[in-house]
Amino acid sequence: MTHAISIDDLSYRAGRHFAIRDLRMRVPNGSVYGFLGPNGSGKTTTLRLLLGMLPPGDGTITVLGHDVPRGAHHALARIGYVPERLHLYPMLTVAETMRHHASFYPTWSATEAERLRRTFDLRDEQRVGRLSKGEAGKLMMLLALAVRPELLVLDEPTDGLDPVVRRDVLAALLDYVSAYGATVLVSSHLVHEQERICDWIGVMDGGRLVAEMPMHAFRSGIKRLRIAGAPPQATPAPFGILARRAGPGREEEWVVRDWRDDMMSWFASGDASLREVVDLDLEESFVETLRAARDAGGRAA
Amino acid sequence: MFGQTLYVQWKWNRDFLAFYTFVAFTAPLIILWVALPHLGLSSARELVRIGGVVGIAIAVISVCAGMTVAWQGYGVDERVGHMYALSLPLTRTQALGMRAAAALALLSVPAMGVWVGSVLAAGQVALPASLHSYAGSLAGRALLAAWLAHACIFALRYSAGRRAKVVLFALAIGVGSLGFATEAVPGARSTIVRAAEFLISNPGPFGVFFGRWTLIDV
Repeated sequence: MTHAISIDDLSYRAGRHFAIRDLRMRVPNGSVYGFLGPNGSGKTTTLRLLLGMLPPGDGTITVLGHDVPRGAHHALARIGYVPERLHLYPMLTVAETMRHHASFYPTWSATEAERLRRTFDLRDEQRVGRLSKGEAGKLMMLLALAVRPELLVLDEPTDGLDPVVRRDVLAALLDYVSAYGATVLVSSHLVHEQERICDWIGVMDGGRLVAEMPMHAFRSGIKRLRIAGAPPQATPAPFGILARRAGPGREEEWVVRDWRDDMMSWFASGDASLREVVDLDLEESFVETLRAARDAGGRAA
Repeated sequence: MFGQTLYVQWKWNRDFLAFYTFVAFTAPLIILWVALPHLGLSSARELVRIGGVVGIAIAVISVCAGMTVAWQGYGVDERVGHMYALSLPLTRTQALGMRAAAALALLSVPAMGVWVGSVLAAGQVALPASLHSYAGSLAGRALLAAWLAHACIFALRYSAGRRAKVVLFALAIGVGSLGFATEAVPGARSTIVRAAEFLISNPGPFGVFFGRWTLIDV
């Protein structure tokens, strides 16, 4: 499998309290990669680093085969970027913004831009500085898609948008992905939205990538188990144990990852008995992953 | 690309450019109109002096125009956190080159104002045979001075805030040290004076600011 984005041992420090440490990340070609994490976890900083907007302290970043930040301008010519906040010149009109943007991208499709402008109901003469949040979000998505990018980097693209605009923006994105097979890296803390559109997931917390796996593994592989007579902590298990909590009586509640049904037999080999396997939805899986990572970080500290 | 960069800068700076163009155009005319009634019939020395006043006024206007356009040009990016400029597929060198070229093009508008105003102003007086009007070279000098002022402010503002403070602090320390050295170190004064003369006289880097700014001269 080739990767649209490869990051190895990336470190970056911003101020005294925030740092990205030893980040390793792989975004497969053609995937829709959901970049999840709580606010302040380092998602936006990571996106800015991989676009060459910030200089990394250490490590290597390769985007569409180009080393970043050295070859960032080559990579950026093939990337559509939507930042979390409006980044366009406020005194230009919609039409002027489109002309300005088009002049930097040889791949710009005027036809596609016009089609999206009509779909999004944006008027040529509207000043960017006077657009509503929804209109601004649509304009940024229009600009990102009309350059016909191989990679879309979207930083909270639907955050704060009303449901109608959110649906329009996501529909345009999915249409583009299905038509061109582009890779998408989309950062968000809206877990349910990621669940609908992503086929890979990366979870960031405290400047570290604490989980990275296909969406189906994340969705189906994380379970809550209710166990009686649980074995001691040292016993090696075929699945990953994210959390162990005491339950009623001799029972324990485990949150595990990489779970498969054939692993039930592991409990039969000892004194433990598996009472229940509970499916977690994506949000619960996300929360448990974060909690486990924080517990592990706390223990390491 | 360049056309669009120029357009953005024009749209962002046009009010200031219109102001400076108007001031640069009217300054020579106003100064001469004010001075003319007080001139003697053949006061060549007075004409040269008034030409110098026009030159100084144009120097101040040009430097202010360059600094304002640089300050404003930065402001449009600062307002959007520099994200748009950084996300465009350009090297930093290309981006800076386009900004510098756009500034030169924009600052040529007030320089045109200087030239037209100076030609009209010089046409108001009958110059003695020994004197000439230098409207063209005054406008050219105005353009270069404005561009250099633009480059200085642009470089300072585009440095991160902390780096800009370091540069300013280093400059202050450097100037202070030189002042101290001229008094304390024997023989240093002549070396420092020579170095300063190199900086501010043609073809030194800041010569355009300190050369002879005048509309009327021998």
